[in-house]
Amino acid sequence: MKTFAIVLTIAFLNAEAYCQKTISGRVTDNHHQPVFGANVYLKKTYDGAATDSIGGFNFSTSENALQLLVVSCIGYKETEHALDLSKSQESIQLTIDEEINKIDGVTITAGAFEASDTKKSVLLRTFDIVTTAGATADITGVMNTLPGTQTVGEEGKLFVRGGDGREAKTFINGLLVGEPYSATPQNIPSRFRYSPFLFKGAFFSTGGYSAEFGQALSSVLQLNTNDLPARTQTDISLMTVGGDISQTIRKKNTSVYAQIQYTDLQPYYQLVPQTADWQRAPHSLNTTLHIKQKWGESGSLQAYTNYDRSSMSILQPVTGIAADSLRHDILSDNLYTNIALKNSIGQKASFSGGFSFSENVSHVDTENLTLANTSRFMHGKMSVDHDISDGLTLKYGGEWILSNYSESMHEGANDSNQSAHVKSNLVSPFTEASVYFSNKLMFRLGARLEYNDLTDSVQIFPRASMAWKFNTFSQVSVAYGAFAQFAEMQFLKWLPQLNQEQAKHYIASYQYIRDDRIFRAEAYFKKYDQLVTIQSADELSPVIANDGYGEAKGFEIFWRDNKTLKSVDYWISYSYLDTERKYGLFPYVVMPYYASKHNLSVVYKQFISALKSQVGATFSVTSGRPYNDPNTGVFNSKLTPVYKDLSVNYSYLVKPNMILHAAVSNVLGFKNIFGYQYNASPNEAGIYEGVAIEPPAKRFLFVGFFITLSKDKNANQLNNL
Amino acid sequence: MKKVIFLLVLTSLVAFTSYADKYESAMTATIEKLNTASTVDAYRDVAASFERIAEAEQSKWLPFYYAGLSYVWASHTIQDGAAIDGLLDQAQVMVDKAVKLSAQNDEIITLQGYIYMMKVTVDPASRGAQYSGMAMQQFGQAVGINDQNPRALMLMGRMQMGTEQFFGQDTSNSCAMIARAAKMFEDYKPASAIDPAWGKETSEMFMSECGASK
Repeated sequence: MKTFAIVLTIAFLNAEAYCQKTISGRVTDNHHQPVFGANVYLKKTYDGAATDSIGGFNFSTSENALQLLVVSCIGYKETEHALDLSKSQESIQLTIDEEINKIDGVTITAGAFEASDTKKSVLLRTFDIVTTAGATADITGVMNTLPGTQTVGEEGKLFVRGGDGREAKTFINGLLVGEPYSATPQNIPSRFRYSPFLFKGAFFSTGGYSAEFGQALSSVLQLNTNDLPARTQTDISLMTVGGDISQTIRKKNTSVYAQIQYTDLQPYYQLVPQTADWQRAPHSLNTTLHIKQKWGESGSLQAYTNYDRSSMSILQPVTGIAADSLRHDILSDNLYTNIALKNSIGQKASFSGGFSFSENVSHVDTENLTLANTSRFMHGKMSVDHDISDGLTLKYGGEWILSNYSESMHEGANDSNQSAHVKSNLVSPFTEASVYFSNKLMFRLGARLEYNDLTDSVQIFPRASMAWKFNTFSQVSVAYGAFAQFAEMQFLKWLPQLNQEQAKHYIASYQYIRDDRIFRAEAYFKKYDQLVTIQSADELSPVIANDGYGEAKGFEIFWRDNKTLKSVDYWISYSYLDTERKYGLFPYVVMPYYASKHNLSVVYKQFISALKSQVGATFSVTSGRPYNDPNTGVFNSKLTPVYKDLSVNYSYLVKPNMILHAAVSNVLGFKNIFGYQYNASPNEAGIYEGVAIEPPAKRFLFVGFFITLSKDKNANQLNNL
Repeated sequence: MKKVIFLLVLTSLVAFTSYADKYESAMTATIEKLNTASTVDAYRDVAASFERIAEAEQSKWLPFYYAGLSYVWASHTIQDGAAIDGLLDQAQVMVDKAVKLSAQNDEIITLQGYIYMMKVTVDPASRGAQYSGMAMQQFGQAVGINDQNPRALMLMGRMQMGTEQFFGQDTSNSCAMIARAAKMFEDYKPASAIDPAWGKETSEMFMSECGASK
């Protein structure tokens, strides 16, 4: 009997454990809004519930002592509350704080265009670069359909917000690229050297960029190379302009990519007449080697090298003597190496940096004159991102840029030689703090300190920006920055102690993003100072000074819609620009030749599943650009006609591993004139004779066939994006 | 007295086994709920339950796996792309935690491939090329580890079938793959009562698609 009583007691004790208690309450955020889908539970038990749409929760537990009640929800900081379950519980009110989300929260959008596949709200996707008509997979071509850029057809480079082409700099993995554009004769547009297939993302800034970037007055284009490729594969491209073959080898933590490409425009030019008088069409040999290595959990090491040799011959007027054409033989060698590394330092910090080397050697031979120049850049950089606290991230680092330029001129007639050489060092530490007050408001303050050995001076360039997301879809952001860039080598070689040219940017931006529709409006003011002027065209005794200046102001509108029409994606960019400057040979403050008041681009893409095809069209209009007609006596007072272009492209997936791509520029055959070139002296009638600068051909047709061979039969070259 | 001690030992043993059973019974009950869920809210609740078990257990990969699977299945029930991405992000967090507890696990790798597969559906035109390759790679890796995993084989077949349909190609290869997976399901024995066992009905559904396309 006694035994029975004990057993009964024990059984009872156990049974008591099944005595259930109900716990209920409500979870709100710091704005008193209910939190839906938060997981509320007793720590180290299974007991809990997810909150409903009004933040309410209700669950029962058999726990009895002091417990910790955990509230966890994605996007919020996890919190714990002590709960004494031996007492009876009333409805529990819980508040949780938002977690600062540095990726999808508020971001500085002023002047910034990002192409990415990982972030959700981006204005461009990496895929856009290869599918935009008119760009023929040229990264610059795509950026030129964005607001803030001005089309300068005879150059093919980026011209941003009233800035000269040289004011826009390109960086690969944060490291400077010395010469991102292919070599071409004067007035023949160049192409961006690097294939968009190399990169997983791009960041294009039209102003107000981070303190991390220097030596660019107008714009920064930052490209990030791909991660380890998915598989071992061979890619073959057959194009109307040449072909290439590449091999990717993927091992567990390493990959090697090697490519060789040969392009020659000769056969194409023989079929399609060109306005330019080519003696030998451009042809080039290009090789790439890219090695990537995983480094620990999240780090990577990579080495990229590209070598290109191109040559061409053209009959062209010599500057200042339009009537007489001379044969120009151009040979260009370009080498670029980029060694980049990144890794994390503990949980809270990461570093990235590396080293780049650029060398560009060009030879131009005319009948009795040989011009040769070599420019070299070395860039070393290291930068640390440190999460000091939830709302504060500090970036700090330093860089060193060494530039070395030399040129020589040989005149055959009197067998004379001239040469010049200039070398500069720039050392710059930089730091920047990003302060997040909430997921709606952030500030970024930074500065870079630059020492340069040409003027032996130290300068500080501050940067400041702010972003405020005032509702789920809209945000405003403002940015300010002071920027500097070395004077052109052509001037520095005469006067190495020239100051750096300077610019200040003031930008205000509004952005609205909702369901695959993006609207952005931006206004800016830009002030230039210390621009280099040259007062005599006389090569032997020019007067060079830092007394140029200028300004640019304007506004831009961007609209992208991927939702209204099924399978259709389009964007519209409009830029208004008002700019004047005194620099170079300009006698006074005037609108420069590359500037145009109005620029409009409409980009359209449609994916047609039934045809396994993507079609695209890009329409661009640019208002007239100034040119100098010496017959008028007023500098840069005439305007070219309006520039118009409609380009189309078509991609067809023949098989999963074969893509056929065709593109035509200026299908409607608009007659475009980029400017005029005049004789230096008037003819007998006292008139300066001139010739129009036109595109090298009315249209350009490109057809390419791309094959990927791998064990996975479905892989194609687009997988690299 | 002997009797008392015996009974004491017995009851504490029962208490202990009931504790060990607690994990299995909680898992079994939640898996049951997962199999009957049909709305996004129901799937979220199930995922939250698995997460609670996972957080309490700390060292078991299965609850994280099932939490991830719940989010992936939840993404099937809705149309809005951004919301699908949100659920897949939550699934990814669970898979990342599961991988930390069990590396080279064919079930977790298959689930990772499944997440990529669903990512494609949000924006096939721009994501297809990238994510379908990544999904195929995961399925291939899972089959490499365990060629008797019917889920890996079935999803791989479905992914390939999608590509073949898109290109108007013959789907007999991918259908054969799905058929092989369906056959494996017939006498499939999961490693334990709570190990992944889903997929039989899905494979039958895929099989019917094969029948329809012929």
